[in-house]
Amino acid sequence: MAHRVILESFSYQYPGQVTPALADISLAVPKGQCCALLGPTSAGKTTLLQSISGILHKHHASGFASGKIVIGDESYAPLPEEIQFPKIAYALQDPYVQISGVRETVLDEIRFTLENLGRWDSSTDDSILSLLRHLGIDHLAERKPTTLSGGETQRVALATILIAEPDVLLLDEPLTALDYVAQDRLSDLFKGIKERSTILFTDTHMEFALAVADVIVVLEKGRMVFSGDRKGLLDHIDSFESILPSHQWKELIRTVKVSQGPEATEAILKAMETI
Amino acid sequence: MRIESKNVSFSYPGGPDVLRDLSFAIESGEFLLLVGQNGAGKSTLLKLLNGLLKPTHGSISIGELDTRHHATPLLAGHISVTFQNPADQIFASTVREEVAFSPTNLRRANARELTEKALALCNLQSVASHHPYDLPQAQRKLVTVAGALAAGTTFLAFDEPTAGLSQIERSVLDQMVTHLLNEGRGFIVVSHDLELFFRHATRVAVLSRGGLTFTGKTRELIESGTVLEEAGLRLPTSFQIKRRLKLP
Repeated sequence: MAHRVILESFSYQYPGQVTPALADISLAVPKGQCCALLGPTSAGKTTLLQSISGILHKHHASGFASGKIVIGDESYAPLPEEIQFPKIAYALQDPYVQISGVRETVLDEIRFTLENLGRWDSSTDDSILSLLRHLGIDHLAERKPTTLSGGETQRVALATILIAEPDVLLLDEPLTALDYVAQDRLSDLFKGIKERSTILFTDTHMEFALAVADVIVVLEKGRMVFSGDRKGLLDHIDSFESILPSHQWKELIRTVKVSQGPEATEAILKAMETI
Repeated sequence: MRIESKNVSFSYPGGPDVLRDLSFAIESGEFLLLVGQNGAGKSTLLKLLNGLLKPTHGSISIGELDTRHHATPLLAGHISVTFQNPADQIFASTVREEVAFSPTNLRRANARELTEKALALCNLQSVASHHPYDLPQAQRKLVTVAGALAAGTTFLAFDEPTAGLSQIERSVLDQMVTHLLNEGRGFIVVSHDLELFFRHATRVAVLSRGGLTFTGKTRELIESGTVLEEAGLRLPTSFQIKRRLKLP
Protein backbone atom coordinates (compact mmCIF):
# COMPACT_ATOMS: atom_id res chain seq x y z
CA MET A 1 0.00 0.00 0.00
CA ALA A 2 1.20 3.49 -0.84
CA HIS A 3 3.00 5.42 1.91
CA ARG A 4 3.44 9.15 2.38
CA VAL A 5 6.98 10.57 2.13
CA ILE A 6 7.98 13.64 4.10
CA LEU A 7 11.30 15.45 4.36
CA GLU A 8 11.73 17.99 7.14
CA SER A 9 14.61 20.48 6.80
CA PHE A 10 16.72 17.71 5.35
CA SER A 11 20.35 18.48 4.48
CA TYR A 12 23.15 16.24 3.34
CA GLN A 13 26.85 16.72 2.70
CA TYR A 14 28.99 14.01 1.08
CA PRO A 15 32.17 13.02 2.92
CA GLY A 16 35.09 15.22 1.84
CA GLN A 17 32.88 17.88 0.19
CA VAL A 18 32.76 21.47 1.33
CA THR A 19 29.26 22.33 0.15
CA PRO A 20 26.07 20.43 0.90
CA ALA A 21 24.52 18.31 -1.86
CA LEU A 22 21.11 19.09 -0.35
CA ALA A 23 20.36 22.07 1.85
CA ASP A 24 17.26 22.47 4.01
CA ILE A 25 14.80 20.51 1.89
CA SER A 26 11.22 20.32 3.18
CA LEU A 27 8.79 18.37 1.11
CA ALA A 28 5.59 16.39 1.63
CA VAL A 29 4.25 13.81 -0.79
CA PRO A 30 0.88 12.44 0.42
CA LYS A 31 0.38 8.69 -0.01
CA GLY A 32 -0.53 7.65 -3.53
CA GLN A 33 0.64 10.89 -5.09
CA CYS A 34 3.32 11.39 -7.68
CA CYS A 35 6.16 13.83 -7.12
CA ALA A 36 8.50 15.12 -9.84
CA LEU A 37 11.95 16.28 -8.78
CA LEU A 38 13.18 18.50 -11.59
CA GLY A 39 16.45 20.29 -12.13
CA PRO A 40 19.73 20.33 -14.00
CA THR A 41 22.80 18.17 -13.43
CA SER A 42 24.25 18.27 -9.89
CA ALA A 43 21.07 19.79 -8.45
CA GLY A 44 20.83 17.00 -5.84
CA LYS A 45 17.99 15.00 -7.43
CA THR A 46 19.72 11.60 -7.21
CA THR A 47 21.00 12.33 -3.70
CA LEU A 48 17.43 13.07 -2.61
CA LEU A 49 16.10 9.75 -3.94
CA GLN A 50 19.05 7.85 -2.50
CA SER A 51 18.61 9.39 0.93
CA ILE A 52 15.02 8.12 1.04
CA SER A 53 15.95 4.67 -0.26
CA GLY A 54 18.63 3.99 2.38
CA ILE A 55 21.33 3.61 -0.27
CA LEU A 56 22.94 6.94 0.55
CA HIS A 57 23.74 6.01 4.14
CA LYS A 58 24.87 2.53 3.07
CA HIS A 59 27.33 3.94 0.54
CA HIS A 60 28.49 7.05 2.38
CA ALA A 61 27.98 6.30 6.06
CA SER A 62 30.37 9.11 7.03
CA GLY A 63 28.42 11.78 5.13
CA PHE A 64 26.77 14.47 7.25
CA ALA A 65 22.97 14.46 7.35
CA SER A 66 20.52 16.51 9.38
CA GLY A 67 16.76 16.93 9.52
CA LYS A 68 14.24 14.12 9.29
CA ILE A 69 12.72 11.74 6.72
CA VAL A 70 9.28 10.21 7.33
CA ILE A 71 8.03 7.24 5.29
CA GLY A 72 4.50 6.09 6.15
CA ASP A 73 4.39 5.95 9.96
CA GLU A 74 8.13 5.44 10.33
CA SER A 75 10.28 8.40 11.16
CA TYR A 76 14.02 8.42 10.48
CA ALA A 77 16.26 11.07 11.97
CA PRO A 78 18.07 12.09 9.95
CA LEU A 79 17.66 9.33 7.31
CA PRO A 80 17.01 5.59 6.77
CA GLU A 81 20.20 3.60 7.32
CA GLU A 82 19.10 0.37 5.65
CA ILE A 83 17.98 -0.40 2.11
CA GLN A 84 14.32 -1.29 2.47
CA PHE A 85 13.63 -3.13 -0.77
CA PRO A 86 10.94 -4.03 -1.69
CA LYS A 87 9.02 -1.68 0.62
CA ILE A 88 10.95 1.17 -0.95
CA ALA A 89 12.33 0.48 -4.41
CA TYR A 90 14.90 2.60 -6.20
CA ALA A 91 15.56 2.33 -9.94
CA LEU A 92 19.03 3.46 -10.96
CA GLN A 93 19.64 6.15 -13.54
CA ASP A 94 21.63 3.78 -15.77
CA PRO A 95 19.36 0.95 -16.98
CA TYR A 96 22.35 -1.06 -18.16
CA VAL A 97 23.50 -1.33 -14.55
CA GLN A 98 20.01 -2.19 -13.32
CA ILE A 99 19.75 -5.29 -15.51
CA SER A 100 21.55 -8.31 -14.04
CA GLY A 101 22.79 -9.66 -17.37
CA VAL A 102 22.73 -13.21 -15.97
CA ARG A 103 19.31 -14.12 -17.39
CA GLU A 104 18.69 -15.22 -20.96
CA THR A 105 15.28 -13.61 -21.55
CA VAL A 106 13.46 -10.45 -20.52
CA LEU A 107 10.75 -12.53 -18.85
CA ASP A 108 13.35 -14.40 -16.85
CA GLU A 109 15.14 -11.17 -15.88
CA ILE A 110 11.91 -9.92 -14.29
CA ARG A 111 11.20 -13.29 -12.67
CA PHE A 112 14.62 -12.84 -11.05
CA THR A 113 13.27 -9.98 -8.89
CA LEU A 114 10.37 -12.12 -7.67
CA GLU A 115 12.64 -15.12 -7.08
CA ASN A 116 14.92 -13.00 -4.91
CA LEU A 117 11.90 -11.88 -2.91
CA GLY A 118 10.62 -15.45 -2.59
CA ARG A 119 7.45 -14.41 -4.40
CA TRP A 120 7.82 -16.27 -7.67
CA ASP A 121 5.56 -19.12 -8.69
CA SER A 122 4.22 -20.15 -12.08
CA SER A 123 1.14 -17.95 -11.67
CA THR A 124 3.19 -14.74 -11.31
CA ASP A 125 4.21 -14.92 -14.98
CA ASP A 126 0.77 -13.56 -15.83
CA SER A 127 1.40 -10.41 -13.77
CA ILE A 128 4.82 -10.05 -15.41
CA LEU A 129 3.32 -10.27 -18.88
CA SER A 130 0.59 -7.82 -17.96
CA LEU A 131 3.21 -5.35 -16.70
CA LEU A 132 5.21 -5.79 -19.93
CA ARG A 133 2.04 -5.06 -21.89
CA HIS A 134 1.45 -1.86 -19.94
CA LEU A 135 5.01 -0.77 -20.72
CA GLY A 136 4.58 -1.70 -24.40
CA ILE A 137 7.34 -4.32 -24.34
CA ASP A 138 5.42 -7.62 -24.16
CA HIS A 139 6.77 -8.50 -27.62
CA LEU A 140 10.26 -8.53 -26.08
CA ALA A 141 9.49 -11.17 -23.41
CA GLU A 142 11.63 -13.85 -25.03
CA ARG A 143 14.46 -11.54 -26.17
CA LYS A 144 17.88 -11.52 -24.55
CA PRO A 145 18.06 -8.41 -22.30
CA THR A 146 21.52 -7.44 -23.54
CA THR A 147 20.40 -7.23 -27.21
CA LEU A 148 17.75 -4.52 -26.72
CA SER A 149 17.77 -0.89 -27.85
CA GLY A 150 18.30 1.93 -25.34
CA GLY A 151 14.61 2.70 -24.82
CA GLU A 152 13.70 -0.97 -24.62
CA THR A 153 16.43 -1.61 -22.03
CA GLN A 154 15.16 1.30 -19.95
CA ARG A 155 11.65 -0.15 -19.85
CA VAL A 156 12.91 -3.64 -18.95
CA ALA A 157 14.97 -2.12 -16.13
CA LEU A 158 11.81 -0.32 -14.91
CA ALA A 159 9.83 -3.56 -15.05
CA THR A 160 12.36 -5.33 -12.79
CA ILE A 161 11.55 -2.72 -10.12
CA LEU A 162 7.82 -2.22 -10.75
CA ILE A 163 7.13 -5.95 -10.39
CA ALA A 164 8.12 -5.71 -6.71
CA GLU A 165 5.04 -3.50 -6.14
CA PRO A 166 6.79 -1.20 -3.64
CA ASP A 167 4.99 1.18 -1.26
CA VAL A 168 7.34 3.91 -2.37
CA LEU A 169 8.74 3.90 -5.88
CA LEU A 170 11.84 6.00 -6.51
CA LEU A 171 12.81 6.37 -10.16
CA ASP A 172 15.97 8.15 -11.22
CA GLU A 173 15.48 9.70 -14.68
CA PRO A 174 13.19 6.96 -15.96
CA LEU A 175 12.53 8.74 -19.27
CA THR A 176 15.94 9.50 -20.72
CA ALA A 177 15.78 7.02 -23.62
CA LEU A 178 12.00 6.86 -24.06
CA ASP A 179 10.19 8.25 -27.07
CA TYR A 180 7.01 10.26 -26.42
CA VAL A 181 4.69 7.31 -26.97
CA ALA A 182 6.64 5.17 -24.50
CA GLN A 183 6.43 8.13 -22.10
CA ASP A 184 2.64 8.22 -22.56
CA ARG A 185 2.43 4.54 -21.62
CA LEU A 186 4.51 5.18 -18.54
CA SER A 187 2.29 8.09 -17.58
CA ASP A 188 -0.80 5.83 -17.84
CA LEU A 189 1.00 3.22 -15.78
CA PHE A 190 1.89 5.77 -13.08
CA LYS A 191 -1.77 6.79 -12.86
CA GLY A 192 -2.78 3.12 -12.65
CA ILE A 193 -0.56 2.24 -9.65
CA LYS A 194 -1.40 5.24 -7.48
CA GLU A 195 -3.28 3.23 -4.84
CA ARG A 196 -0.34 0.90 -4.51
CA SER A 197 2.72 3.13 -4.73
CA THR A 198 3.72 6.67 -3.94
CA ILE A 199 6.06 7.73 -6.74
CA LEU A 200 9.00 10.12 -6.68
CA PHE A 201 10.90 10.50 -9.95
CA THR A 202 13.62 12.78 -11.23
CA ASP A 203 13.73 14.41 -14.63
CA THR A 204 15.61 17.16 -16.41
CA HIS A 205 12.56 18.12 -18.51
CA MET A 206 9.16 19.42 -17.39
CA GLU A 207 6.85 17.86 -19.99
CA PHE A 208 6.30 14.50 -18.29
CA ALA A 209 5.93 16.15 -14.88
CA LEU A 210 3.19 18.37 -16.32
CA ALA A 211 1.37 15.23 -17.42
CA VAL A 212 1.61 13.14 -14.25
CA ALA A 213 2.87 14.96 -11.18
CA ASP A 214 0.71 16.07 -8.23
CA VAL A 215 3.68 17.68 -6.53
CA ILE A 216 6.52 19.34 -8.46
CA VAL A 217 9.81 20.36 -6.92
CA VAL A 218 12.61 22.17 -8.74
CA LEU A 219 16.12 21.84 -7.34
CA GLU A 220 19.19 23.84 -8.21
CA LYS A 221 22.59 23.32 -6.59
CA GLY A 222 21.09 21.44 -3.67
CA ARG A 223 18.41 24.00 -2.90
CA MET A 224 14.71 23.90 -3.48
CA VAL A 225 13.87 26.77 -5.83
CA PHE A 226 10.25 25.78 -6.44
CA SER A 227 7.64 23.58 -4.85
CA GLY A 228 4.05 23.52 -6.00
CA ASP A 229 1.70 22.08 -8.58
CA ARG A 230 1.55 22.10 -12.39
CA LYS A 231 -0.11 25.48 -12.63
CA GLY A 232 2.46 26.97 -10.28
CA LEU A 233 5.26 25.63 -12.44
CA LEU A 234 3.79 27.17 -15.60
CA ASP A 235 3.09 30.45 -13.83
CA HIS A 236 6.74 30.68 -12.75
CA ILE A 237 8.22 29.40 -16.00
CA ASP A 238 10.42 32.47 -16.53
CA SER A 239 12.44 31.59 -13.43
CA PHE A 240 13.55 28.24 -14.83
CA GLU A 241 14.85 29.24 -18.24
CA SER A 242 18.49 28.40 -17.53
CA ILE A 243 17.85 25.18 -15.64
CA LEU A 244 14.92 23.48 -17.41
CA PRO A 245 14.14 23.18 -21.13
CA SER A 246 11.24 25.60 -21.15
CA HIS A 247 11.57 27.53 -24.40
CA GLN A 248 8.59 25.92 -26.19
CA TRP A 249 6.36 26.21 -23.11
CA LYS A 250 7.28 29.83 -22.65
CA GLU A 251 6.40 30.49 -26.29
CA LEU A 252 3.14 28.61 -25.85
CA ILE A 253 2.13 30.55 -22.74
CA ARG A 254 2.93 33.84 -24.50
CA THR A 255 0.83 32.93 -27.53
CA VAL A 256 -2.09 31.68 -25.43
CA LYS A 257 -1.99 34.86 -23.32
CA VAL A 258 -2.60 36.90 -26.48
CA SER A 259 -5.86 35.04 -27.17
CA GLN A 260 -7.00 34.00 -23.68
CA GLY A 261 -5.59 36.68 -21.40
CA PRO A 262 -4.33 35.97 -17.88
CA GLU A 263 -6.11 32.60 -17.70
CA ALA A 264 -3.56 31.20 -20.15
CA THR A 265 -2.07 28.53 -17.89
CA GLU A 266 -5.52 27.17 -16.97
CA ALA A 267 -6.39 26.98 -20.67
CA ILE A 268 -3.15 25.11 -21.38
CA LEU A 269 -3.65 22.60 -18.58
CA LYS A 270 -7.25 22.08 -19.69
CA ALA A 271 -6.15 21.48 -23.28
CA MET A 272 -3.54 19.03 -21.99
CA GLU A 273 -6.26 16.90 -20.40
CA THR A 274 -7.93 16.47 -23.78
CA ILE A 275 -4.85 15.30 -25.68
CA MET B 1 30.59 16.47 -49.68
CA ARG B 2 27.58 14.19 -49.62
CA ILE B 3 26.36 11.07 -47.88
CA GLU B 4 24.10 8.91 -49.95
CA SER B 5 22.18 5.82 -48.97
CA LYS B 6 20.82 3.86 -51.95
CA ASN B 7 18.19 1.17 -51.33
CA VAL B 8 19.93 0.00 -48.16
CA SER B 9 18.66 -3.06 -46.34
CA PHE B 10 20.26 -4.68 -43.36
CA SER B 11 19.71 -7.76 -41.25
CA TYR B 12 21.80 -9.14 -38.40
CA PRO B 13 23.06 -12.68 -39.25
CA GLY B 14 20.16 -15.12 -39.35
CA GLY B 15 17.64 -12.42 -38.40
CA PRO B 16 14.89 -10.57 -40.25
CA ASP B 17 15.51 -7.22 -42.01
CA VAL B 18 16.08 -4.51 -39.41
CA LEU B 19 16.23 -1.85 -42.14
CA ARG B 20 14.51 -2.05 -45.51
CA ASP B 21 15.23 -0.21 -48.73
CA LEU B 22 16.42 3.08 -47.24
CA SER B 23 17.29 5.84 -49.68
CA PHE B 24 18.28 9.31 -48.63
CA ALA B 25 21.07 11.84 -49.08
CA ILE B 26 22.54 14.62 -47.01
CA GLU B 27 24.97 17.37 -48.00
CA SER B 28 27.51 19.07 -45.76
CA GLY B 29 25.88 22.08 -44.06
CA GLU B 30 22.61 20.16 -43.64
CA PHE B 31 21.05 18.71 -40.52
CA LEU B 32 19.11 15.48 -40.87
CA LEU B 33 17.02 14.58 -37.84
CA LEU B 34 16.20 10.89 -37.71
CA VAL B 35 13.19 9.95 -35.59
CA GLY B 36 11.51 6.63 -34.89
CA GLN B 37 10.13 4.50 -32.10
CA ASN B 38 12.41 2.68 -29.67
CA GLY B 39 13.78 -0.30 -31.56
CA ALA B 40 12.99 1.10 -35.06
CA GLY B 41 16.57 0.55 -36.24
CA LYS B 42 17.94 4.09 -35.79
CA SER B 43 21.11 3.09 -33.96
CA THR B 44 21.72 0.33 -36.51
CA LEU B 45 21.56 2.93 -39.28
CA LEU B 46 24.28 5.01 -37.60
CA LYS B 47 26.51 1.94 -37.41
CA LEU B 48 26.01 1.45 -41.14
CA LEU B 49 27.06 5.04 -41.84
CA ASN B 50 30.52 4.64 -40.36
CA GLY B 51 31.02 1.15 -41.72
CA LEU B 52 30.82 -0.72 -38.39
CA LEU B 53 28.05 -2.67 -40.12
CA LYS B 54 27.80 -3.26 -43.88
CA PRO B 55 24.52 -3.16 -45.83
CA THR B 56 23.06 -6.57 -46.70
CA HIS B 57 21.71 -4.93 -49.89
CA GLY B 58 22.21 -1.52 -51.47
CA SER B 59 25.05 0.88 -50.75
CA ILE B 60 26.08 3.86 -48.66
CA SER B 61 28.67 6.33 -49.87
CA ILE B 62 30.47 8.94 -47.78
CA GLY B 63 31.82 11.35 -50.37
CA GLU B 64 33.66 9.11 -52.81
CA LEU B 65 33.95 6.20 -50.39
CA ASP B 66 31.61 3.22 -50.60
CA THR B 67 31.23 1.86 -47.03
CA ARG B 68 31.15 -1.72 -48.38
CA HIS B 69 34.70 -1.44 -49.67
CA HIS B 70 36.33 0.76 -47.04
CA ALA B 71 37.06 -0.03 -43.41
CA THR B 72 35.76 2.07 -40.51
CA PRO B 73 39.16 3.73 -39.78
CA LEU B 74 39.21 5.27 -43.29
CA LEU B 75 35.54 6.34 -43.13
CA ALA B 76 36.25 7.85 -39.70
CA GLY B 77 38.17 10.59 -41.47
CA HIS B 78 34.85 11.88 -42.87
CA ILE B 79 32.14 10.90 -40.43
CA SER B 80 32.33 10.74 -36.68
CA VAL B 81 29.68 8.84 -34.73
CA THR B 82 28.78 8.85 -31.04
CA PHE B 83 26.60 6.19 -29.46
CA GLN B 84 23.93 6.27 -26.78
CA ASN B 85 25.89 4.98 -23.83
CA PRO B 86 28.99 7.11 -23.08
CA ALA B 87 30.52 4.16 -21.19
CA ASP B 88 30.85 2.39 -24.56
CA GLN B 89 33.48 4.76 -25.81
CA ILE B 90 35.39 6.48 -23.01
CA PHE B 91 38.77 4.97 -22.16
CA ALA B 92 41.39 7.71 -21.58
CA SER B 93 42.33 8.94 -18.11
CA THR B 94 41.75 12.65 -18.67
CA VAL B 95 39.07 14.51 -20.57
CA ARG B 96 41.68 16.22 -22.77
CA GLU B 97 43.37 12.92 -23.69
CA GLU B 98 40.00 11.41 -24.46
CA VAL B 99 39.04 14.28 -26.75
CA ALA B 100 42.51 14.30 -28.37
CA PHE B 101 42.32 10.61 -29.24
CA SER B 102 40.47 10.93 -32.56
CA PRO B 103 42.45 13.80 -34.12
CA THR B 104 45.74 12.22 -33.01
CA ASN B 105 44.72 8.81 -34.27
CA LEU B 106 43.59 10.32 -37.58
CA ARG B 107 46.99 12.10 -37.77
CA ARG B 108 45.36 15.49 -38.18
CA ALA B 109 48.12 18.11 -38.53
CA ASN B 110 46.13 20.50 -36.31
CA ALA B 111 45.21 17.85 -33.70
CA ARG B 112 45.93 20.13 -30.78
CA GLU B 113 43.88 22.99 -32.19
CA LEU B 114 40.96 20.63 -32.97
CA THR B 115 41.08 19.26 -29.43
CA GLU B 116 41.05 22.68 -27.78
CA LYS B 117 38.27 23.92 -30.02
CA ALA B 118 36.13 20.86 -29.26
CA LEU B 119 36.74 21.30 -25.51
CA ALA B 120 35.70 24.95 -25.81
CA LEU B 121 32.58 24.23 -27.87
CA CYS B 122 31.46 21.62 -25.35
CA ASN B 123 32.30 23.86 -22.39
CA LEU B 124 34.74 21.31 -20.97
CA GLN B 125 37.90 23.43 -20.61
CA SER B 126 37.56 23.76 -16.85
CA VAL B 127 37.42 19.97 -16.43
CA ALA B 128 39.93 19.05 -19.16
CA SER B 129 42.40 17.54 -16.69
CA HIS B 130 39.74 15.56 -14.79
CA HIS B 131 39.21 11.85 -15.20
CA PRO B 132 36.12 11.38 -17.39
CA TYR B 133 34.60 9.06 -14.80
CA ASP B 134 34.82 11.75 -12.13
CA LEU B 135 32.33 13.84 -14.11
CA PRO B 136 28.54 13.59 -13.78
CA GLN B 137 27.04 11.36 -16.45
CA ALA B 138 25.62 14.30 -18.41
CA GLN B 139 28.98 16.00 -18.69
CA ARG B 140 30.59 12.67 -19.58
CA LYS B 141 28.24 12.53 -22.51
CA LEU B 142 29.53 15.91 -23.65
CA VAL B 143 33.03 14.39 -23.52
CA THR B 144 32.01 11.82 -26.15
CA VAL B 145 30.47 14.59 -28.26
CA ALA B 146 33.67 16.65 -27.95
CA GLY B 147 35.67 13.57 -28.97
CA ALA B 148 33.57 13.34 -32.13
CA LEU B 149 33.95 17.06 -32.93
CA ALA B 150 37.70 16.95 -32.46
CA ALA B 151 38.00 14.39 -35.26
CA GLY B 152 37.42 17.35 -37.59
CA THR B 153 35.16 15.34 -39.89
CA THR B 154 32.74 16.92 -42.36
CA PHE B 155 29.88 14.84 -40.94
CA LEU B 156 28.85 14.23 -37.36
CA ALA B 157 26.35 11.55 -36.40
CA PHE B 158 24.96 11.49 -32.86
CA ASP B 159 22.75 8.86 -31.26
CA GLU B 160 20.41 10.44 -28.69
CA PRO B 161 22.91 13.19 -27.78
CA THR B 162 20.57 14.90 -25.31
CA ALA B 163 19.38 11.77 -23.47
CA GLY B 164 20.20 12.28 -19.81
CA LEU B 165 21.33 15.87 -20.40
CA SER B 166 19.88 18.71 -18.41
CA GLN B 167 19.20 22.17 -19.77
CA ILE B 168 22.74 23.27 -18.86
CA GLU B 169 24.41 20.74 -21.19
CA ARG B 170 21.53 20.89 -23.63
CA SER B 171 22.10 24.58 -24.31
CA VAL B 172 25.82 23.87 -24.78
CA LEU B 173 24.87 21.34 -27.43
CA ASP B 174 22.37 23.76 -28.96
CA GLN B 175 25.00 26.48 -29.45
CA MET B 176 27.59 23.98 -30.65
CA VAL B 177 25.28 22.72 -33.40
CA THR B 178 24.49 26.28 -34.53
CA HIS B 179 28.19 27.10 -34.69
CA LEU B 180 29.20 23.99 -36.65
CA LEU B 181 26.31 24.22 -39.09
CA ASN B 182 27.52 27.73 -39.92
CA GLU B 183 30.96 26.22 -40.54
CA GLY B 184 29.37 23.92 -43.12
CA ARG B 185 29.53 20.67 -41.19
CA GLY B 186 26.74 18.14 -41.72
CA PHE B 187 24.73 16.43 -38.98
CA ILE B 188 22.79 13.21 -38.77
CA VAL B 189 21.12 13.07 -35.39
CA VAL B 190 18.93 10.36 -33.92
CA SER B 191 16.85 11.91 -31.18
CA HIS B 192 13.56 11.95 -29.32
CA ASP B 193 14.28 15.55 -28.32
CA LEU B 194 12.13 17.08 -31.06
CA GLU B 195 11.75 20.29 -29.07
CA LEU B 196 15.43 21.05 -29.47
CA PHE B 197 16.27 19.57 -32.84
CA PHE B 198 13.22 20.69 -34.83
CA ARG B 199 14.89 24.11 -34.65
CA HIS B 200 18.08 22.89 -36.33
CA ALA B 201 16.78 20.25 -38.71
CA THR B 202 16.94 21.15 -42.39
CA ARG B 203 15.27 17.79 -42.96
CA VAL B 204 13.51 15.17 -40.84
CA ALA B 205 13.38 11.46 -41.68
CA VAL B 206 10.88 9.17 -39.99
CA LEU B 207 11.90 5.55 -39.56
CA SER B 208 9.12 3.09 -38.92
CA ARG B 209 9.41 -0.70 -38.83
CA GLY B 210 12.72 -0.55 -40.66
CA GLY B 211 11.56 1.70 -43.53
CA LEU B 212 11.56 5.46 -44.14
CA THR B 213 7.97 6.70 -44.17
CA PHE B 214 8.78 10.40 -44.52
CA THR B 215 11.64 12.69 -45.44
CA GLY B 216 11.01 16.38 -45.71
CA LYS B 217 11.04 19.70 -43.91
CA THR B 218 10.10 20.01 -40.24
CA ARG B 219 7.11 22.20 -41.04
CA GLU B 220 5.77 19.65 -43.53
CA LEU B 221 6.06 16.97 -40.88
CA ILE B 222 4.25 19.05 -38.26
CA GLU B 223 1.50 19.87 -40.73
CA SER B 224 1.18 16.33 -42.09
CA GLY B 225 -0.53 15.26 -38.87
CA THR B 226 -0.56 11.51 -39.40
CA VAL B 227 3.04 10.58 -40.30
CA LEU B 228 4.29 10.61 -36.72
CA GLU B 229 1.25 8.78 -35.35
CA GLU B 230 1.64 6.07 -37.98
CA ALA B 231 5.26 5.62 -36.91
CA GLY B 232 4.14 5.24 -33.26
CA LEU B 233 5.37 8.74 -32.40
CA ARG B 234 3.79 12.07 -31.59
CA LEU B 235 4.64 15.75 -31.43
CA PRO B 236 5.90 17.26 -28.16
CA THR B 237 3.00 18.18 -25.85
CA SER B 238 3.53 21.92 -26.28
CA PHE B 239 3.09 21.53 -30.09
CA GLN B 240 -0.02 19.40 -29.55
CA ILE B 241 -1.57 21.98 -27.25
CA LYS B 242 -0.89 24.69 -29.84
CA ARG B 243 -2.73 22.61 -32.40
CA ARG B 244 -5.60 21.84 -30.00
CA LEU B 245 -6.05 25.52 -29.20
CA LYS B 246 -5.84 26.29 -32.94
CA LEU B 247 -2.89 28.62 -32.48
CA PRO B 248 -0.48 29.54 -35.29
